[in-house]
Amino acid sequence: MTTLQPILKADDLSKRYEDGVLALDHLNLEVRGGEVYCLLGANGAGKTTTINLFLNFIPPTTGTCFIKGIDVNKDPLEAKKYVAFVSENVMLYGNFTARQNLDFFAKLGGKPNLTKEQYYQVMRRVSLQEKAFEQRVKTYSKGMRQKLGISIAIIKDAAGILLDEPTSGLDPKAAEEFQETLAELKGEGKAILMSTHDIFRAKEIGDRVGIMKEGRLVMERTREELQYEDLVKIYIDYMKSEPLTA
Amino acid sequence: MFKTIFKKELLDQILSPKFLIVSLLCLVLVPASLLLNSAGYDDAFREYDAARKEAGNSTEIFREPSALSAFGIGLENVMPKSVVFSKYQMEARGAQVQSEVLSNINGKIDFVVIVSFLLGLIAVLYAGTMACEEKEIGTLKLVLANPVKRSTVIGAKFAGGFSVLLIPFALSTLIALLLLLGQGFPIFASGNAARIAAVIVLSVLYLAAMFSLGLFISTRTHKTSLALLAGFFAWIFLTFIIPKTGEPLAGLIRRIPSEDAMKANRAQVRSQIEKEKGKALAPLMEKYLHVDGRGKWDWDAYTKARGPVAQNYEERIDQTLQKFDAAYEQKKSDRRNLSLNIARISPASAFTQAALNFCDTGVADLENFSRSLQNHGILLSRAVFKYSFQDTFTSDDGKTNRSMGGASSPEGKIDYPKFRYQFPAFEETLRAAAPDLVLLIFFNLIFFAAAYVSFGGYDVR
Repeated sequence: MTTLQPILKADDLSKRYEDGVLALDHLNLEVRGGEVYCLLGANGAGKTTTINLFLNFIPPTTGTCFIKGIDVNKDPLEAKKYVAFVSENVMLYGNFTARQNLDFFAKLGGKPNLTKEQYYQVMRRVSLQEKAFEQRVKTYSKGMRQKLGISIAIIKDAAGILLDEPTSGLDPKAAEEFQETLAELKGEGKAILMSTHDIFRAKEIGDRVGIMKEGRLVMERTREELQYEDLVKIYIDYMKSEPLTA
Repeated sequence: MFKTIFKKELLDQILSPKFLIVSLLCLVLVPASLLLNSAGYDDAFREYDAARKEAGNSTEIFREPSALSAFGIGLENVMPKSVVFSKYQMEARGAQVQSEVLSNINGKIDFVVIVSFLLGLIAVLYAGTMACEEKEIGTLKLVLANPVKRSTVIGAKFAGGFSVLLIPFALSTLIALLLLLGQGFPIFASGNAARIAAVIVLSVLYLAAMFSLGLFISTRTHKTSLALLAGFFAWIFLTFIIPKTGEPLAGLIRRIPSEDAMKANRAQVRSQIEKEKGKALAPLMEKYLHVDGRGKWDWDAYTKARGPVAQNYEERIDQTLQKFDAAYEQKKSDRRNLSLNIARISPASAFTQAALNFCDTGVADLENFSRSLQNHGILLSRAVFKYSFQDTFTSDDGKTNRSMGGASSPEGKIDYPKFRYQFPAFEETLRAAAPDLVLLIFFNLIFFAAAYVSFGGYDVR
């Protein structure tokens, strides 16, 4: 069930870096609650730049990012209350246990009074092994760290979730479990924007899939449209096509 | 938010292996150096006490060693152990402990050296990775994806990280002080406690400045390895290069004659007035001291008669040499101050200068001792040396010299002025250390402000 108002919205968003590279070129996209939007594209297409702009890590050259209608650039702290983030290669604090990591980020996210059991519940939800809850994270595998990263996003209980290539390097089982968690979050009405190279998973889970090339959103398809089209072929065709910029 | 990040930093640093290493280093080095140096002080004091009692009434004085040299040896071994006065001059003795060859080559380890070098380096390296390491492992992005101000993050990082650095420092210092107390070290005697407290406060200020510098370096780099390298070079520059170039640079800017040249000039000035005195005394010599058998030799009459004539010249020699010495001391002091001011660009130097002053082994003590010697020299001159004389007669053609000396008889026993070296008062030391104290606060503000501003624009991607 999707909301009418978009939770995540990029409005004519552009980013040109100091070295002159145009990383994002007039991007317009909206992600509503209960919707998963997958951004596909080669390295340097502008996927991560989009996420960095939503998190106010970099200022836009033109355009605006909105989270729950709040202009990220004007009021970043208020906007960040409504968004959670999972990055590629989540390392976390290795000297801390999973619960300690979760506790720290929960407090940062505005959830200061959670109980041990509540932390355990979230970790169970992402299928993290029970015995790992009180283990130091430096002993974790990449898949376990990624699950903990998702737990951090879940515990914040934010309306929007930004995922930057979350399945990269995960084994098939872990990726499958991740996909299930994402489906649950979608079911809870979260607006999810995920950048990925994983075309198969994008087609599986994405309500909409956008393909980015040289900073532009060159194609957007809904789940329904993709039932009759071959996403892999579309993606490869776009990647092989002539460069967009003169 | 501040409390959450502060607690995270505290716990994260305490759980890291580097905390264990730093703690072990501090717990071994701080108490060991203080105990060894306090034993060295005990030996020096016993030696001083015995020499002073043995000397009795004499023109030799002894410098009492500073008890707080146990904390910072500084100029303790550079300043003379004793000084022998004679008319118009003094000779310093026992300035260097020649038996301690290695210590003279490499320098001794003491509390001030441990803080300045070892903990200073640890502070820079500790903080040097705080921001960039989090960027490298990706946690900085996760933190800043939450509604938390960057100013809160950097402030809490400083407070948390620095508190962790202070734990081994405080613990090792406390243990060392308790051990010293157990050994009978005069911690609570003659204002020592206040001075030790001042050294500890200065240490905390210095370490905070170096920590802020490390934090600044961390916010200017994106790789831990680069931050460590930059931190190490910054430490070398501030701890070795700047302090060691102060003196040669000052020497180039303010040139002064060498001690030998000064002594030769001094002797020349004195000799000139002696000649004039000789001419004035020549008639008396003719009258009372015949050497060729033409008249009588009446030494008593001569010493009685020469007094009023020689007095003016001897006062002139005294005054001229005092002025000469004062002018040379002033030049040396100006050059020394210039070199100290150049060195003060470094927080390590500002800390060392101020801390050693509180240990009574710094430049303030050197100057205080020098003033004490001058004053004692004047007292000796008035009480003792005025009775001795050396008259030199030069013939008109300058070819023959006749010199004779002796002592006129004082009325009663000569009362030798007593010398007991008075260390500068706490207030005096505080005044001397004030510029360094202000500089350390300034370094703290500057380095932290730089880290704060730099982190505000830090690229966390």
